[in-house]
Amino acid sequence: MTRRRLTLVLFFLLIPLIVTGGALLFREKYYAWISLCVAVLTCLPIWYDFERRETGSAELMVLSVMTSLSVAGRFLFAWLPGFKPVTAITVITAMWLGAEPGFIVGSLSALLSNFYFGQGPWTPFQMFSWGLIGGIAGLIAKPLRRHKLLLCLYGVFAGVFFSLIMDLWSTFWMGDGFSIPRYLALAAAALPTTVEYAVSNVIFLLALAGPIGDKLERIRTRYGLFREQSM
Amino acid sequence: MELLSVENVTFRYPKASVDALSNVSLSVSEGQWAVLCGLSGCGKSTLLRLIKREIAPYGEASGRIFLGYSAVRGAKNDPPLGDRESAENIGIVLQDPESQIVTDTVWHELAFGIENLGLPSDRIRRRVAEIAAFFGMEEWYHKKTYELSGGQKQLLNLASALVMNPRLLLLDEPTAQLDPIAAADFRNVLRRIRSELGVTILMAEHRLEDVLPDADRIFLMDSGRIAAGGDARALTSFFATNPHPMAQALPAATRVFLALSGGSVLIGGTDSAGDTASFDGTVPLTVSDGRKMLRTLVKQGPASASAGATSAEASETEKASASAEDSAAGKVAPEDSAAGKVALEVSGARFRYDRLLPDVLSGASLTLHAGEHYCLLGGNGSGKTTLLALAAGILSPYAGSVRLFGKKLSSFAPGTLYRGNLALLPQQPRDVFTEKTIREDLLKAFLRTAPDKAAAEADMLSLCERLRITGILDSHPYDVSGGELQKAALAKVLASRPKVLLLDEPTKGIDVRGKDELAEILDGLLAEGAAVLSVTHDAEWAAAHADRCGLLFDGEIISEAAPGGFFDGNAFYTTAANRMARGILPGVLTVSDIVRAVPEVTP
Amino acid sequence: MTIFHNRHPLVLLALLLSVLLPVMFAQSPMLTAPALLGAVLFLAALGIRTRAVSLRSIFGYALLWFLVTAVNPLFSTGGATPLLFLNGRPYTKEALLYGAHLGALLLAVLLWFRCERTLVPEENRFFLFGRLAPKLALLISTVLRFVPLLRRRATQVRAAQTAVGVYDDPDWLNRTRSQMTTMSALTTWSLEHAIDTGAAMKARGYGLPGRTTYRTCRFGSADAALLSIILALTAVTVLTLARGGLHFDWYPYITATTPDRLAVCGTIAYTTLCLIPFLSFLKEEIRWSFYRSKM
Repeated sequence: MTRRRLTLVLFFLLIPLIVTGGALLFREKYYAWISLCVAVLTCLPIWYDFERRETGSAELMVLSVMTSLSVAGRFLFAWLPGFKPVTAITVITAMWLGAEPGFIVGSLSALLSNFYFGQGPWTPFQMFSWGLIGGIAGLIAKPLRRHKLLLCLYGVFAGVFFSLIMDLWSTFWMGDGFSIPRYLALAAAALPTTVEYAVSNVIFLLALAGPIGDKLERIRTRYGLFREQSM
Repeated sequence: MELLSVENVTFRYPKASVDALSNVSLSVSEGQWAVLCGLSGCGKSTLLRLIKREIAPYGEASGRIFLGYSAVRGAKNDPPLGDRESAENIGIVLQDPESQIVTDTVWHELAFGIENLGLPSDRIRRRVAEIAAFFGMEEWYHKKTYELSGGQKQLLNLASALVMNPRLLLLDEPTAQLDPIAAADFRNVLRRIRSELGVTILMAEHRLEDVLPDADRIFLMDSGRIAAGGDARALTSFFATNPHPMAQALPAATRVFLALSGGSVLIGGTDSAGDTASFDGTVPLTVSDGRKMLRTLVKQGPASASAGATSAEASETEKASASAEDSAAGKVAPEDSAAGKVALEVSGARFRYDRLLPDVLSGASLTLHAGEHYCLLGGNGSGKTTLLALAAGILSPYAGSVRLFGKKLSSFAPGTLYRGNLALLPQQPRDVFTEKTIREDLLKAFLRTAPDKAAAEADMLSLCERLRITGILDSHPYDVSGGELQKAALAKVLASRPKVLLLDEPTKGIDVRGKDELAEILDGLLAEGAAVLSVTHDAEWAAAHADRCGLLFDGEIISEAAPGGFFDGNAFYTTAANRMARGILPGVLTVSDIVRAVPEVTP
Repeated sequence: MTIFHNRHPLVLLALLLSVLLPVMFAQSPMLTAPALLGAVLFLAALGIRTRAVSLRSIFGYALLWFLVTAVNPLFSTGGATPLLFLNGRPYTKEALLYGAHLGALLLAVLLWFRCERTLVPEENRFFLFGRLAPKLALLISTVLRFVPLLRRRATQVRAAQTAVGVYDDPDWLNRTRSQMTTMSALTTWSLEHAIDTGAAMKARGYGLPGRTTYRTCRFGSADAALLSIILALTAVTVLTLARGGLHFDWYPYITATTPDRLAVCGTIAYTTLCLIPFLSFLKEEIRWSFYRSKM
């Protein structure tokens, strides 16, 4: 019970305090501060819910494997810069296992792959973006599984979304205050990367959604896992 | 007192047409070492998993299982075994060393189980410390789990099960994936666990030669039933009257005894008083028992044979290897195979994984002829698998060369080397499969060489019939037994019609029947002129099926001969039958050689 | 190696946050310079001690700094002193200097993350996490085991696929396709593996109520002392920031508020904070050389 109360205090007292306190303290960069808080605070409730929910050992291990695959996949395709399967694996996980597993796999992939590829101020934003990409895919899992075209569109959307969020962070962080022209200039400069993200997402999704989906489906039916997730 | 009793357990997997277990009853007393043996698929693993309730398979089960007085599975009024008690009292170690490890460090892995039990930290630390000391793990206590060798991983799994202080330890073919040295280490630890800690052991195993001497009770399972039960002697007499493929898995000494005596007590014990090691006429289980038996049997025969153990040994080796070629197993002499065309030639190959690391191979040379089966033996880390990867063109040597039919591997045009020339069956046959069913996978492979789909399908089916795997074509590659998967992988490898076939540990984890089938398939290929190079730890298999054997040590092939000369020249790296008959019967490699030789010398 | 090996992870977390947050968000060179200095001194000392300084990584960091410096004026046209005009847009001195500062700031943050990796033993890294979120911590521990395993497995699967001749054409399309097949085969293997590992976890009592942890980190008086020092220094820094003492304007002209006594105190406090890893390293060095001379 004390633990629960502590969590409530944390949520309703400490967090607003930190957010406003930081914003007042870091007047020059309060956009950057608030955006960092938003990125971290989006992850917290979902992680908290996952932490409290009972997860079977095999289900936990499946999430672990999917996260590991997307991290290891970054190594596997390291010879093609910018070409990483994290988005695809996250989306596929979400399509077959649900929104929350999708979010967990996406956000943890970002956190853990940066242990190998370098932690930086961008980590929370990658966690946020990949987590959300997984979460949203989980909400529209059924149509995504049914229509290839929609899946491709989602891949493009995910690439653009990821890129725009990272540009947003760069804008906040580079300048004092937010200016739309500067954001647009940055986004324009990052256009080749954005296109590469989108294209690679589509390629990965088309190549992997079928085979990996079949395998997730197989373990779901054979071992009765992830039953409570709405399908 | 009975610690474990299984009463009339029947089990059927969902959608299966036959019971996986039918009416199985057995009991194991406190402190006993019991072995559950049988061919793969006989229900050993299913039974173990039913006893360990947490990992029981889905399906319909009936019958009762008791641990002491508590029911793992039982009727309504039986006192049930609680979840915590089950986790604490029953430990299990499964076949694959890798997949049972949960966390990333050795210390955390050891602590994981007791953490789950919810013990306070200081008690966890004490238990972990005790078990690490018992296993002598201090040196690798802080290591990452992925840095460990296969043998260390399996020891870690055993330690992680023991740290819970179990009363019953279940082992499901725990040494099947280990090399012989690591497997022997593992069994030594088991012996200590039994004698020093008094833990009761129930072990499923299909390789009886290593566990029979230790077992107090053995249960033979066949198609989900207990076919026989009792101590080693009772089992041997069962095999004498009931022919069963598992009899081939008995220790060499026992097999000789069985063949010579027909299961009854051999005439023995008539030695002169001066002989300390005398044969008492009962079932021999170890090499030393077997030697006593052979000495007794051969005593009355030609005197030279029994005296051979002492002075004449060195000079006799030459003679023995010479005679081995004609007497032992009727193997092809090297001169014959040398007449065949040279298929693959590795000359002076040197290889290292990094510039700063030492050589794995330092000038290894090997010649493989068409129609020849060459078995490459060698200890752990001797570079066998590396040599195979060089031969397969996956790695290339930094000095020396690898030639296929006289042509360097690197000069093959892209897409030609692995078409109709060379193929490798990896140690993990699973690695070659990528599709949902074996059929799809094989079809994909056959489409590469066949003109159209119909032809590919016809080719595939005829090969599958030859390998007797048509029944599993629509299964998922992970749903079939090890032997079946091995054959399916072989089918995929053979789809490109290779003239040179490379096999990495082809008998690992395969039961006796699977080994025989594999040998039969290889014989067929050899007869068609293919060349086979296999890397193996299995001296028995090499002795029975190779045309030539080589020993890789310290990056070089240090001896090479036909099995007769090869094994007879080795003192340790040889077959059990050879070790048993050394100095008593010359030029003996296999059990059937002994059986053939003994009547000649006994009056 | 340093004092932090024996300290409670909470102390290190406090240090990291109180160094990183001000430097990241206050954009004052009075903070960036000490942060960068502290990290570089510590890493250099450690590098000399362990002979593990890679020229490549130094070059990489230098390149990153140069890029950020050079690129910033392209996006930011503020500043009153144009150096040159590109397509009619001014490339200003202020923006260039701001870029240099931004680059230094980025380096400081990256290097502090590197310090964190060497300061804390890996076993302690997830300790706090493990207390707050045991399930996530276990998940992370399993991922850290799986990733190297999967990478090794990937080479094996690729070798197996190559030698049965599935993909032996060396062009990039085939290479990509074969990597995809490898990913797919890897998925099958690792999902089955996950089921087995799940069974092994259950067999060892995972899911029983009341899980405890082996690793305990006792919060001792030394931890309390160091933490109070860190908190006190942070308080001074925060107070200075709140009073605007370290305010620094980049545009249109670079202007700093003339430092009052508080600003001097704040800078000294923050610099001390940043030097804690290096100082603790020095302390250990001295202690060990004395210790050895006594042996």
